[in-house]
Amino acid sequence: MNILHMFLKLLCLAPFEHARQHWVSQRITSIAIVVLGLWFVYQLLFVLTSFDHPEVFAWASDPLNAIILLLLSLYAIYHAELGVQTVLEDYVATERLRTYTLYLLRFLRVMVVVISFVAIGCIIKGGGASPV
Amino acid sequence: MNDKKQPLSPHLSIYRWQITSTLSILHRLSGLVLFLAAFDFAIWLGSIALGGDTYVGVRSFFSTNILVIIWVLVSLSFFYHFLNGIRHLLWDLGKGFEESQVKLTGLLVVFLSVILTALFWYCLLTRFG
Repeated sequence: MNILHMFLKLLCLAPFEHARQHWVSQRITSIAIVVLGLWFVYQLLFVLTSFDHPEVFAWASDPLNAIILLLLSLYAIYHAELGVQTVLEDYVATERLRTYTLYLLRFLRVMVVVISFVAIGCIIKGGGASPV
Repeated sequence: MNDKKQPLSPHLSIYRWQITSTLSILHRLSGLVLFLAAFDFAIWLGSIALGGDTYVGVRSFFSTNILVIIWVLVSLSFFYHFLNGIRHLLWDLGKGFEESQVKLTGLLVVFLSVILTALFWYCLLTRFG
């Protein structure tokens, strides 16, 4: 893998994955989401005390929580892209339209990735560890 | 280019109704719902970072009646996709392929996802309601 490819991959702009890698990535991300998703449900039900901003901010700015939230967001949107890609490939018949929708899908994913990174970055920077 | 010749799959309208195909389609539909929910998750994270009026605005928008109905749908999709996804992972390991097993685990997934969604909302509402 050359450095340009690594850089593109980091920005989620690398060429679409080969079918085998697509299959593997979907399984790996699904296992990550099983763990992270259960964590999130647990946090919602038993840890968060209120949905008011100070409480949610204090909770999200705990470094461990912040990292897990970021990972959940990244794995969820990546897994979703892989899944929606399969649906599009199955149901969009014309090659041109299929290519356009796949790139639109990728653009949406990159948007979510950027928003998640910036949001979590700001939350950590503005909060620091909360003594909860 | 044989653009027009590629067959569309799966043909939803011509299959006889079966539990297996129905659950498979529901897996895709719930996945699409969760795809959209992933954007809301990112918006929520962004609003936490921005705070102030943005957080209040997003929170009150997310709490409107129509959105609450959508959250119920999202949570049902989450638990269904979660459980059915585990069923898929077990198939990937080569387990549970007998017809009786496929039907049993399918019914189990539907049953459990409804129970878990109800339980989730019960806990959520008693805590925050």
